[in-house]
Amino acid sequence: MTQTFTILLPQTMLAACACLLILGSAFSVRPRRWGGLALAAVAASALCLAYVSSFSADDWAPDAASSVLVDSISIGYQWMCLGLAALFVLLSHEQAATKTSAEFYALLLFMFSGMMLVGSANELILIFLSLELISVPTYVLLYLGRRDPRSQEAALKYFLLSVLSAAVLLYGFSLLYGLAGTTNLDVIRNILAETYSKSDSAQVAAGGSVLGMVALVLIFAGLGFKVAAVPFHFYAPDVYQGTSAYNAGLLAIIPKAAGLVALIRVASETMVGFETSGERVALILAGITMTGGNCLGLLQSNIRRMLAYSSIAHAGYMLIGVAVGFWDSWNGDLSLDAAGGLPGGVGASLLYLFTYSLATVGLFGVLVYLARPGGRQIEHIDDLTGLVRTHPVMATCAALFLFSLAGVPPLPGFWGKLAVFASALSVRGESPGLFVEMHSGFMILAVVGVLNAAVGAVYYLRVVALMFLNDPVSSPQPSGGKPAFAAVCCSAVLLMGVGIFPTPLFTYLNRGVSQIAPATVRSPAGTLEPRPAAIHGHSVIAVQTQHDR
Amino acid sequence: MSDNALLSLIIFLPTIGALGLMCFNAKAEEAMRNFALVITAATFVLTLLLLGRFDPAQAGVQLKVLAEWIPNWNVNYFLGVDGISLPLVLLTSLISLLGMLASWSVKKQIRGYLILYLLLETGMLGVFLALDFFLFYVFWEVMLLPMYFLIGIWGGPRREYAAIKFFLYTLAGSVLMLIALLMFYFGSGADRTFDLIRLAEIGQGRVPGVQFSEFVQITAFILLFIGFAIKVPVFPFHTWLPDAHVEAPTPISMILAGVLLKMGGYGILRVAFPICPVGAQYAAYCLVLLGVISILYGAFAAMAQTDFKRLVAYSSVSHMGYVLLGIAVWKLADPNLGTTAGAEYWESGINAAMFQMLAHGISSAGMFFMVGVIYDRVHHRDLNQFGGLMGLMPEYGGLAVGIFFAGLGLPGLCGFIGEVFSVLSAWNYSPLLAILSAAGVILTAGYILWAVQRVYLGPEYKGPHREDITPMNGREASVGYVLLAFAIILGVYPESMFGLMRETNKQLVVNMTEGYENSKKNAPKVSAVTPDLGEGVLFDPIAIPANPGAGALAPAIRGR
Repeated sequence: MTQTFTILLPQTMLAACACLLILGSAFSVRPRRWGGLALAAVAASALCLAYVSSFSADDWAPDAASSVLVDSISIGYQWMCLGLAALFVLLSHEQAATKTSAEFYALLLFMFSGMMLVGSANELILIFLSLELISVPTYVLLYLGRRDPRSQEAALKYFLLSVLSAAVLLYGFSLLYGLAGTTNLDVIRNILAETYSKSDSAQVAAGGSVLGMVALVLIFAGLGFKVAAVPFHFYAPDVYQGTSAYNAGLLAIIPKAAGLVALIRVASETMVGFETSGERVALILAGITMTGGNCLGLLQSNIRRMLAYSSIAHAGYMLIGVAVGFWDSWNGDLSLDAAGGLPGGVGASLLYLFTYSLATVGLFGVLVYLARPGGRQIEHIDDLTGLVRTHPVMATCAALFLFSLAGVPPLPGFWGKLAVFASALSVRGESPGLFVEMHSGFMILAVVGVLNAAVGAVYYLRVVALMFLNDPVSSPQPSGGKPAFAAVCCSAVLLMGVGIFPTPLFTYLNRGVSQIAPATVRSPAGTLEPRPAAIHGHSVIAVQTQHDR
Repeated sequence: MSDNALLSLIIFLPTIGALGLMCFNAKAEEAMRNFALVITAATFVLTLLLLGRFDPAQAGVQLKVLAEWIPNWNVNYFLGVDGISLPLVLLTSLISLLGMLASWSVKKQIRGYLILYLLLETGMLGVFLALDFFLFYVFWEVMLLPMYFLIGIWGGPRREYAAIKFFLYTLAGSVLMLIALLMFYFGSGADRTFDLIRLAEIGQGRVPGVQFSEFVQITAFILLFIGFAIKVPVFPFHTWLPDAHVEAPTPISMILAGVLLKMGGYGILRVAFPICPVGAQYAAYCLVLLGVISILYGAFAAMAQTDFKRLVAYSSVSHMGYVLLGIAVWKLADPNLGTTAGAEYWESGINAAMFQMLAHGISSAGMFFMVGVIYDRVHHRDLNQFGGLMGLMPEYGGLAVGIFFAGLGLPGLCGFIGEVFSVLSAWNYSPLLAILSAAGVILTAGYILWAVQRVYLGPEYKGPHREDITPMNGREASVGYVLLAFAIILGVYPESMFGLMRETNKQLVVNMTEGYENSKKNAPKVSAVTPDLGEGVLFDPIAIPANPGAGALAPAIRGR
């Protein structure tokens, strides 16, 4: 039990501080103080995480049935969450300057706690719980801010659809539970691996049993809402447009990151025997999500609506990595390069998530920092016209973020895209045919992906052109306060740093994915056999002491 | 100075200069201009040093620089020069220097302009010196951003449209290049590499056990060719060019026409051809045809223009057609054996194409400069309102007529050599296409003589801003004289450039013919032994492992 608590220390710390904030709000309403406290909570959580990551794999007592896990992905992902949390707390400097400031920060900390919990969860129920820990505060946050009809509508829309998607996801989880008889991911993987190695391989080749396939599709649907994949994206543009830039920034990052990690944990890593169906679903989702997001993004003139479609399109790129992840786990090697150089599909997807989050938090930070004269927030992209004359630093940072999202080297967005496309092109086909070497599906997906990158560049470039090539019509006012300014500059500096020196990131990711041993290896003879238990899954490092239970 | 330092300094001296510009007082415009001029001049001097160290008798890449950049992907900071890149490096630094001299006409936001200009020069030199495909790609994209802002901020009335169009066309081409890059990377054997020399060896079948299949070569060639054809620009992909050239400020037009268009031709010679000999041969007829169409289409379009700058822009489409024509005249004697007919004609075609790139770099930069000089004075470019400038500005008129004649291809000037040799080498390939391309020479003469007549000859100029016409100042005249001098030197003594590139081009032709024969020879043999090697090995781009049974994780047998 103690080890489970140790692993969950960072999340617990955030949640505990959030509770303290809510209690404290009864006694004081001074907003600045709460901001500082929230930042302190993030720092305390970072200390806890540093403590957790100081253990090596051997220090944990192994247990295949643990409800939490530690691996490089979870550690790296949690560091990313804490970094984002710090940036978001800084950005909120003026957002939270109201009577409800303590509640605001408490909700923010709850959300980030849930976001981090997804990375450590090794249980269907824990994953569902952590997703709800993100959703419930989001509903409140959406209501807290503005009170005009439009934001009310956005909040209600998000609430209803989110509840629906939670139900769908839960249904998928319950079917998966029905299939395996347990909620523990490692055990599910073991059981599925055993089942599908014994049954005839024709069924495996066809994509697994019908029950499992239904579960898989429902899980994709439920988590597709979180990552805003087409056709589960309909809420995103309306909600982003209806709410404040700050909330839109949260929505663009937290549910997407948590959904992606949950998808990787539950689907790519766990559902052994369903790789082929998972791969197909992810392939199709990725293709239509990228294309749909980018094409509709072209038509937008509201900046948050445009960024909503951009975030949808980026979810598509991440799904390419997920699709490749299925192929990787079928082939018994999650790392694309056996010699150890490149991240595989899952790693590429997570790298993409990181680069996307970094650029997105910065971009929304610029929108939070700036306001139109009169204090209203930036709505139309024309409000940014000639920004370089009035706010040169903000304009330069915004251009960097936009170019990174467009994937211009050597900014991080490019490395993300490169990793994703590279992972797709590394997949090779089943039989010699027209597309001899490449797997035709992945080859087409990669081509669709790069064409999408060019299409996406159009609307990012339009904003850059407005900011740099036109004379200002109105001059936006800085309304976000100095901390927000600092947060934007921080992300820009980090962006440049990661862009020019991506090596540590690749090295870390490669270590991260190589630590997850998939359940099966495909032997040269073409049969599917379960891995020996000793090197199975997270069990090497997943923990819970024997006397815990 | 060591070779390492020399090549890196050539690329990054402009960047250092750009950083240095940030230290200047924003008011000290003249000082910043002079500083930037000194930096470009120093870069030019460094490239002359490079020329001094280069041994033209040697065919391969010289003065290599190799350092690790991203070890995870096996991306290296790998530079070097050979006979193909060296002349273009010289051209780049020369045109950058002259463009900087012409930049005194740019008035607003000088510091930003100069910084972007110098970054652009870094990008261009990087593209020509990089020998790692990945590095090449990064420089290719790095060059894109300054150019976008230079057109978009300092350009003419429709600058925003032109800048976005330029950016998107180039980006679309480069993402296709990205796919090809990854295809090569994953096909390059167990020790994956972006090294262009190694990739070329693999493509030409000179590395035992690894070979890009015909499918990969053809697909990759088409992807790469579209990317480079946009840059050249070749006929259906050329529509960005008139807009970008017309809207860009004069020095940027000079760079666009003088250097950036050459990147397309260079990319074909450096990347697409050596790595994909089969793809190149597969598409050869199409390439030659597109070249001829570009020549004729560009010439007719130029003839129809009333905007002086647009005419020069379309003349670039036409002139660059000769480059494609010369590069691609690769005729097979026997398609089954893959033997090449008249390799010496093809070699002379490649030489001619290279020469045409250099000649066009000089003449088109000169033509754009001449248009810019008159535009600065009369603020319009309408051909129908010009006339009689020769009488008002005799020095300018003389220089301009000289440079336009160089563009026309008058014997004794630089344009003649490239055009005539590419047409001659095309005769061996297809007499019909050679005749059509020769017709382009006449059309070129037509539109240039007509333009010269409308602008410089005739009764004295009576159009707008008559009173503003002043003689060229010393700075403008020096740019004009230098360009005209180079036009004459190249025209009278073409060996100055042919000597540098001859051995490299000869080697390229030999390698590619061998490469094509190799893949024709290998193809049936490999299929004969396929059953023994097992499924997926036949066309597998990933290394055929020395020991096919080497474990479940060996890449070659991971396919399902």
